[in-house]
Amino acid sequence: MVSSTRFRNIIILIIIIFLCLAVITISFRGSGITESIKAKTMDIFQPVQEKMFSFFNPVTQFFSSIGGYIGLRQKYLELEKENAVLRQKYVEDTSIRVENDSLRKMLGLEVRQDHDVLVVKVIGYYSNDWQSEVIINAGTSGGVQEGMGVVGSSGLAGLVVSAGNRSARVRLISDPQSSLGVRVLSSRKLGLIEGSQEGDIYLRYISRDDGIYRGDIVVTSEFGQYLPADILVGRVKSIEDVPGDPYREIRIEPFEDLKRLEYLAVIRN
Amino acid sequence: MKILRKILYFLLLIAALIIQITFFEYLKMFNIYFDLVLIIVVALTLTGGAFYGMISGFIAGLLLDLIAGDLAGISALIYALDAFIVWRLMQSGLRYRLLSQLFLIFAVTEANILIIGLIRFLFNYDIGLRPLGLELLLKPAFNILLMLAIYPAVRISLRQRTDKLGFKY
Repeated sequence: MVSSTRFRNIIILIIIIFLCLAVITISFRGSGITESIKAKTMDIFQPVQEKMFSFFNPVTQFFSSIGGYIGLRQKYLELEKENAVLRQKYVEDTSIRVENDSLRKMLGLEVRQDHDVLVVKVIGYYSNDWQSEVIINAGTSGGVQEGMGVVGSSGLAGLVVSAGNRSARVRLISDPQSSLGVRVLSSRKLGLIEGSQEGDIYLRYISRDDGIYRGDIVVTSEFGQYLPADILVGRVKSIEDVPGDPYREIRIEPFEDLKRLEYLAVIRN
Repeated sequence: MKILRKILYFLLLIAALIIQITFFEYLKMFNIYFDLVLIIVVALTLTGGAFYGMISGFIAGLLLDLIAGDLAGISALIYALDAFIVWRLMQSGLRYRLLSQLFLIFAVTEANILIIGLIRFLFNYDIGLRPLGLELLLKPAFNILLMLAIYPAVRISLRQRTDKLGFKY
């Protein structure tokens, strides 16, 4: 009796192992079947997930804010300084923008439009060494498609990687699989931002000759299929020259706090 | 184990899955999280046997990957293996004591981390030794804390007539 139970359990395990290896292989090859099953599964669980997320949200916000208290005073002083500079720039930039729009009209060029955005709520978060994603409560029925950019109140959060009918998965810019074309605002040099397992975001392909400084701002480039240009991404946090490497090792601090995402906006145009 | 109870426990596992994504993912330290689904799979294996544990772990893992994972199938494999490991360890003579529970959670957590790392490595993902080392060190502690919080509550709700921290087999 015991040996037959043992034998049965081993057979079950072997079957499960083969089944899982087959599923992993199909998923790794990026099959459409896996993606559609994922989308349908997300849709089934979306209502429950949304309710549970709202229920636990006060507690998760409390725990997230505990970490934020460290270094708060230093951050406050830095922000005060930055605010003063930005207020000055805002006044100058407003008049430039008005002039720009009227010149565009005169030349028959399209005036800059505000983006068509859909405000969504985060209903789940999944992060480990190999991925960093959130789940939002809108999908294809709301006009959300794969590849669309997702922004928070301060800057870019990520890109939609999978969209079901009523929910979608957003890969954050800190995800190790994330890779996005950007521009350095001061020098207009093109680069690529990539996430990492540690959660840091790196700006790649900026050579030693390219002008870049700590505090420089990075924005999205114009080469994204769905992602508009000049969306704020982050600020240069550190620059290091690696011996033997023609490119610098640059860390970016994202403007958007990726650990405290609650409401986001999907850019639909 | 009665059919109705098995269904109830399975629903408990699905609830744990949703709570994992909506709550426990936010309680991270050093990028390490509490694995509620693992704890429940181990508990289900101890109460319902290896077959029940493996099937439940497989389904829960697959659902987790379909909702939130990038590679479908990894969590399903891991949780099914965890159930098998727990069963084999109990077969080898472990008793229903607190230390045994601690050892089970420690063993399956370490096995999880190493197997996931191996599968990712085989599929050409980058493996960082420092995050891996940190996870091997800290994650068992996180899961043991969670086990100590959850198991007594589950035992009380099941009204088990046992005077030790454990489950009937």
